Amino acid sequence: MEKINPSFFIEAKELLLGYDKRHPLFEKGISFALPTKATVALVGPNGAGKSTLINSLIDSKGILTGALHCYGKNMSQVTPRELSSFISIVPQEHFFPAELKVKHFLELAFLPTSGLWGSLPSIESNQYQKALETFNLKPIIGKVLKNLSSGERQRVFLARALLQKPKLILLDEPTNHLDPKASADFWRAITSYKSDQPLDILISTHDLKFVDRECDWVLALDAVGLFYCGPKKEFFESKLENLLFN
Amino acid sequence: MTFSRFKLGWIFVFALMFLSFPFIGGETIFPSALWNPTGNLQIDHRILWSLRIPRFLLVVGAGGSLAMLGATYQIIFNNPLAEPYILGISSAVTLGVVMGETLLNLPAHSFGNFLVGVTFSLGVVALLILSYRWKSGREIERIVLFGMGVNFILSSALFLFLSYHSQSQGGGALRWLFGNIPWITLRESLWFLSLVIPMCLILWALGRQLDALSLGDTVAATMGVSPAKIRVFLLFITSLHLTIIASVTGSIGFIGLVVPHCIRLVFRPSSTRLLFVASFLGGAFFLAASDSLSRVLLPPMEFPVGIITTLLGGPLFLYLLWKK
Repeated sequence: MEKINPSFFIEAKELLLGYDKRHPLFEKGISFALPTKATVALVGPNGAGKSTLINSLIDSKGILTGALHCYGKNMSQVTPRELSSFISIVPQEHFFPAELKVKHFLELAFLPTSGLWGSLPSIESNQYQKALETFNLKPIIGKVLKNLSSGERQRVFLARALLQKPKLILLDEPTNHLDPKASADFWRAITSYKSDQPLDILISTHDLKFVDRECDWVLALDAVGLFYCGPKKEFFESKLENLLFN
Repeated sequence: MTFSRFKLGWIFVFALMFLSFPFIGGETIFPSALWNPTGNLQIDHRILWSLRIPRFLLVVGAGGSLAMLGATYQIIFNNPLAEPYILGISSAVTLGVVMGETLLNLPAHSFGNFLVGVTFSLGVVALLILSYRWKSGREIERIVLFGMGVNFILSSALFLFLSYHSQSQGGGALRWLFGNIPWITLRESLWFLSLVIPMCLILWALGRQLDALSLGDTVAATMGVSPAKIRVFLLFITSLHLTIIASVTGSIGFIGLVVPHCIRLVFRPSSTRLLFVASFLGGAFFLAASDSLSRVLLPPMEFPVGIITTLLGGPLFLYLLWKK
């Protein structure tokens, strides 16, 4: 039985990431723990391994050595079915069929729980009206996903990820291509969702103002490995952000 | 999908056309010959039950399957240009069958010859799956490129064999290249369907997993689907499926590539399962129409059906692309 520490949602021990054993991303394994109920910002220069870390929580092939635990589960041994019960993601690059409509895309959020034979509940049913309101999706529910603006599309991706009712949502630079208003709308949807139910958030971003404003905890990676893992306040008070990016 | 009265009307027309195909051919047969084996309908009755209907069943199974396989490949390889023949499976089967026919003197559609084809295709499948699982990268592009390489080698080997063979012995070996519908017995056609239909049902059931896969591997993994496992399984099952078809009809081009795209352009199906059902019906209709046409054009001559599918489907596809 593995030791479960309920106050952390992610624990890494001597973790070495990369896709090639000869060229790991860090100089040596990194160890850190992220506290539950916190919004954790994952920051660092390009190539530091932010996306690799996020992907390693989903597909363990990026874990070279060491252990990565999420809610006490060893991520090298977790099956996709288990994974779907506690993690969902808004990836940096999202694929979808060109002809897919928003409502059918959202209905796919119920796929993990419906099994092979169950029917997918319609997103338009009363049960989900609240969700549609939270994410302000009612006006665009009948549209084709491809034809939406980046901001609308990103909100749809977020809605699908959260309709899966995860414990942890992974957001990989979600507001990268969005204008300030769309970014604000995106974040408002998350805050409004979070006010009703517990949700752990790991968000990778380059927007340090956003980190200062909205996040509680900072996990910073640099070319060597772990740069900082701790409360946001100390990170900014020690002016570590200048060091990180220089 | 919701159907307007207009669309329902079209569906009715198409269904009627579909059911009329067995009665069209070198000589038109009246539907009453179906159940009336007496009088001047006696010959028609026998033609219908021992030639036309078995062939119709074969065409429906093969055409529907090819369209579904095309749709599957387009999703698992995340590539709109994917089609059932891209991985060299059917080249392998064809090479095996042609070699069995010429070197081992096995009859064209015998079980022994089928086994030779299956052996060749299983060899290729094993290579493909090894190439996908062996290296840690597991990139989808690699398996497509690998399959294309295998396809080029095998089809060149086939060309070499056929050109040698047709010069030394003559004969109809060329029919394998374009795809050809053989005349088979009712019993054989039912056997064919009993193998092919369950495979179609498996694909249909896995449509859910393919929905997840079409959102990219990362998202699929958080939806309870293992992208690597589902790809290997689908690779295996679709290869068997394709082997059965290719060992009977050779390589009928174009259906697997074009029918799913036409279905997407016209119906915009909301899920992979709907896409599969529509593709099956579309592929079955399209191949049945092409087959009837290949026999009606210059009777009693019969064109390889693959040529007709391409000549018919190409312009249709271009028109739909142009219109949208």
